[in-house]
Amino acid sequence: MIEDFLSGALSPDEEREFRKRLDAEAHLAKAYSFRSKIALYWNEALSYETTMKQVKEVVDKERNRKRKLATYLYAASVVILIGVVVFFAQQPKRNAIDGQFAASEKDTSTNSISPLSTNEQPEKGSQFAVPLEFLLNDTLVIHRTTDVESVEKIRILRLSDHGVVGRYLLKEGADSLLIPLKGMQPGSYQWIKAGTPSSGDFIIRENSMPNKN
Amino acid sequence: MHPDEDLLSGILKNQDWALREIYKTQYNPIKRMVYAFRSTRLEPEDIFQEGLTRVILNIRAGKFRGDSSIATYLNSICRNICLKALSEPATATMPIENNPGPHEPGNDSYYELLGFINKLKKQLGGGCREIIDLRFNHQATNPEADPQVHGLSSFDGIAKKLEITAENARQRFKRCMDRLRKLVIEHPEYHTLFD
Repeated sequence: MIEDFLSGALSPDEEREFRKRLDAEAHLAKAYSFRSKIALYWNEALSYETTMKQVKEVVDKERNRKRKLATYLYAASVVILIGVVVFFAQQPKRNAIDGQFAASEKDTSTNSISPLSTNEQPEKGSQFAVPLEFLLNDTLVIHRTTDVESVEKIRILRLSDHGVVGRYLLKEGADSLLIPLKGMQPGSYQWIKAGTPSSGDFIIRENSMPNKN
Repeated sequence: MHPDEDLLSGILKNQDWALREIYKTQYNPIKRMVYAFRSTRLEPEDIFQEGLTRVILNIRAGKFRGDSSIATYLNSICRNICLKALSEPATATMPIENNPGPHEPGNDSYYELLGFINKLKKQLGGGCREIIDLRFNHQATNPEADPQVHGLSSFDGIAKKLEITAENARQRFKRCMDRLRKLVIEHPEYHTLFD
């Protein structure tokens, strides 16, 4: 009846009758009051809910965007920090290597190379990892490792096939070992002190190559 | 011309960029304001969302007079939400008699009432909500109707939409309205609201 009344579906007589009942019946009056008021707020509540949802979506999206950006910035700063730490950690090593190379010299008077006793090559990949170059009539000089007094075993490897081209002993009491390169083929080689991390790369060139000073 | 003319226009046209802009410029000031209350009961994000929702609805309802900037307006609404939340006991609900002012757009109790009705909708469940939505929203069954004018959908229109008979639609609507009224009457705060 309330719905028909609100929809205007009642005849004039029925409408009059309904109004009379509204005045007379408290129960009907309450139901009618509830029905009219709730209809007012129902749609507004829907609009409130929709707007709230829209705001929440925008806020969530913006917050996630901010978080993503913060994560990228954080990751970038960690990478930069690691880069800076590695750079400064490398600095003393590089200085030492620079010093070694600056002090390396080629003994042309005796036709032998005199690398320093610490003639280990710097790490591969570093710009200083340029192998020393020898001519076929040069002599490779391997010095004794500091603080090692016993016999040191030295191997020469050909880098092209990792084949051992020579085995030598640095005897007890000797400070250095002279290895003549005569008879070896031009190419890239590596000397290794067995049982130690000491090693170094070198290149043998044809004698016709002009000497580097 | 209001300094926030573009934002106002964006809000009235329901454009997301306006909300994003308000979030970008106003979220941090609101967060600082909420933290200044030093209360764990206040969650800045919830306060901001509730405040911005009210700002939007007030603007759309013509309740924002444009005397201040949107930022100031949002700040004052958020501050009121905080004060209201802090003035209430943590667990008890406020008696309806103590609510300030009538339930009109623009005041706190109005939005609390809308929040309450939305809770009721959830309690009612999808079936009931659907039929009441259809009945109270004339546009739902008649897309050509003016969206600004809230009219009733006929049971014939609802029946067609739900593919049931008009009598079934009427019966279902009545049952749902009875359930809704029961939920309201059982509520300690709003039981007398609709008398």
